[in-house]
Amino acid sequence: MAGSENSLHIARSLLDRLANGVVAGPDDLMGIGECLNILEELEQGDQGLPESWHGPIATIKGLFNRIILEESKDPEADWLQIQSLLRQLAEGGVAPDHERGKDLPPQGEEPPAGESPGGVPGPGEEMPEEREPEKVHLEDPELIRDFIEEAKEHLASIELNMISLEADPRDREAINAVFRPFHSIKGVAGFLNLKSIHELSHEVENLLDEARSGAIDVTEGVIDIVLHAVDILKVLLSELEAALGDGRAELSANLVGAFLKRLRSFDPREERPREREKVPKVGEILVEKGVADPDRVETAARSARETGKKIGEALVEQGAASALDVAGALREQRRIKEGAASVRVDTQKLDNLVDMVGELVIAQSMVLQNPGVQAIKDQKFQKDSVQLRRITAELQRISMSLRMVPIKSTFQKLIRLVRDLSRKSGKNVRLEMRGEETEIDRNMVEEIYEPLVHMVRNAIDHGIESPDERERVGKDPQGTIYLTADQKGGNILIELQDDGKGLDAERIREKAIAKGLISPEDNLEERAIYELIFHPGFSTKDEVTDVSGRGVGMDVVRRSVEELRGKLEVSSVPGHGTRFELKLPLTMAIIDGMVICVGTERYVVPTVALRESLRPSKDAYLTVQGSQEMIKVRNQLMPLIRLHELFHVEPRFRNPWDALILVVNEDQKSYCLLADEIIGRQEVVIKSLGSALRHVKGISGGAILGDGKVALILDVKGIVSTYEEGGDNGFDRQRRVA
Amino acid sequence: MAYKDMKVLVVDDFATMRRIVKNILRELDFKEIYEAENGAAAVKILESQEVDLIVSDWNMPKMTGLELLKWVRANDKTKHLPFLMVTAEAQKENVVEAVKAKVSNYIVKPFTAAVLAEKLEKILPQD
Repeated sequence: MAGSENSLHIARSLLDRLANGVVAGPDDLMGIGECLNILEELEQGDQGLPESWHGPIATIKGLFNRIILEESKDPEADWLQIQSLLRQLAEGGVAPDHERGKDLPPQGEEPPAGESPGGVPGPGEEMPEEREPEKVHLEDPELIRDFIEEAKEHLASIELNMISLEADPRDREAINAVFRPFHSIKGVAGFLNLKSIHELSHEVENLLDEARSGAIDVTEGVIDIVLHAVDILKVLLSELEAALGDGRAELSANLVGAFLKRLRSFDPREERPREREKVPKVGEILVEKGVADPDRVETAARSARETGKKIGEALVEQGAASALDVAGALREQRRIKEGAASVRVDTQKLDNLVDMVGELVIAQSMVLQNPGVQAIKDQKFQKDSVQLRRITAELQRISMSLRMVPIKSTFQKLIRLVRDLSRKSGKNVRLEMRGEETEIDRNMVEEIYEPLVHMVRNAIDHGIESPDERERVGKDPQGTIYLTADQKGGNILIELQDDGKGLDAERIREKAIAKGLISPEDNLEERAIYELIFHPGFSTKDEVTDVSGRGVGMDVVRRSVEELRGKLEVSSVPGHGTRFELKLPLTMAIIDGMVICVGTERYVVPTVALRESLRPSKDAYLTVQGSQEMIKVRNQLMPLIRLHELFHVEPRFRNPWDALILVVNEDQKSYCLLADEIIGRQEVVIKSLGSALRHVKGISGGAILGDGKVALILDVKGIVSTYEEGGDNGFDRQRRVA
Repeated sequence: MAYKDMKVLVVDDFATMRRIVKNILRELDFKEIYEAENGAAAVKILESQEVDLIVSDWNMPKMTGLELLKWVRANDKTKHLPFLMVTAEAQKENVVEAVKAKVSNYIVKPFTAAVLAEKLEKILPQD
């Protein structure tokens, strides 16, 4: 049957395109695309397509697809075949036997069976039981380092997306977001010839692709598998990272082997809620390997339960498996266990662990400092106790490190913030980060986010000028906020600096006067004026802007930093920008302190608050207006705070020139704390005080010292405010020098 | 036009992958290479820059390679640009989609400079 006028016309014009070089040939994919579109239009639209045309058109499309996918053995021959089919159609003659859906013309030989692309064994193939470590030659270490960094970053995002998937298994965006990192990692691993990583991510990608297409649901089992794969990838990446300097690496390919085995036995379609059994039983392994008969394993398991024997023994006894097989299965089981390279742990448990390790350290020093024990002169004992100390110290270090996480994730959230805010404010601002890998206590990482957000908001709103204004003063129209993190000694330093116009001392002064914070006569140094921005009464809601105004002032920021036992300082250069310096302790659980002694009591002063300690000369002691005691340190007068009075203890020395003073900074002012002597600097594990002592001002916690005695940790801020308020703690500022 | 005089835009959300592609392009003597981390970022560059060739990944957040391709083909300024799609073996079936959207050609990861050169020969205007 001949086609309708219209379809004949289309067939002819297609033929023309192919014959006249409008579509250049099998290499011209754009031209082929055009042809495919026309063919589809022809099929779908109401073009009066004769029934007999469907078959040939399907064949033509199939041939085109074969050419596109480079699966054609002989593209030129297929090309000619397409032309000849079209010619037949255009001339109105269709081979009568050409039915719809007829297979494509056969080509040469079939590809050899069983060889799947990418070297990944097909389902029928047996995985090698034990994999040799994959030897990798690292040709471009720098590229690999970047890859590791980037891959880790992307892997970190997977866990979050997995949580949204757990809530909504059909969240396509989340599936895509999980799919993409595996896809990218696979792609790069392919280029870098990292076979294990390539294979692993390839398999997970396939699984997720099925989820993406809706063929399978994202069940708990799928989530487990994906997270397991993330863990293994992390292990492989860190193996790679560790070997970067050596130029060659050995990757634990056996982890991938075990994983693939698990993946292969996993059928997402049959999955129903079940117990999570990540580690297969020995019997299961033997059955899976085909070594033992399931019934006999069952019998052995029953008898093992009854007799209290191990399943392996029962199996061997009953002849269900040889000892060698059982040993092999045990090995395998262990390997699978090790495959689970990371576990998620409740933070509470982690905190308990850190606490108990702290106790252990203290208990150990109590034992070792016990006079009776110290009297032991046995050499072996000496050696062993050194070993014990070494181990506990290491244990403490490791348990602390468990809670440390890179600050990167916090910083990264700020990138987004800067982008949004700069758009909103009409300013052009970028964020430059350094030291994102710096690790910080995970309890703290959440706490510092808000203060940082506020400082970034301030920088964009008040610090950085509009692009016009910047150009006028000869600056890059794009402003920059520099965010850096660094570990220095026992502290984390975070700096947030902008290249904006800097703080306007005059305006701050005017505003502070208007608010009644200072009087017009006060002659303040620049630094002291900058400090005013931290004053609770300074920030007000009457200047709420879209960007920074939330009614939260810098005072709140400083307070949150201080709650973390940190310090926040500001400096500024007019016209060049403002810098905030945040100094935080490494961890919330331990502080670096100076142990001091007042009478028989001992206290710990956090070193972060301490500026210096000295014994003043008699001349340095002064009283102001006949009552307030002051110490002059390098021409600066500082109030003297007598700790023995604050805590009602009998001191050994009452005269500052006999005793010792500790200079502390608070609110940019210096104070001198009077103590008898300094015992030494020590890291102490902080213990919270019971409810009875929680409200005592001037004390932030307790610590158990090496000899088992308790020392109170001083809260310098509380001490100073008690002093400033006068009455409350019964401070009497009368002169008390003998 | 010689490769060294051509401006190429490399689009991929994975920075390491962009670097690898750039390395390969440099091997082929390309000098001027722009980068974008997704389709949307690529559009921005294409709106303000003249480029002679686009090498784009398929799977990206915000705007995929296919969406970028459709945008490129729908804009007078860019519709004749050679567009090379980078795909993975597993995605080959999708390639037909891209062909219908008038991709110039595609290349399967991982590829070598030689394979890339072969593809470029097919899609770049010959002089």
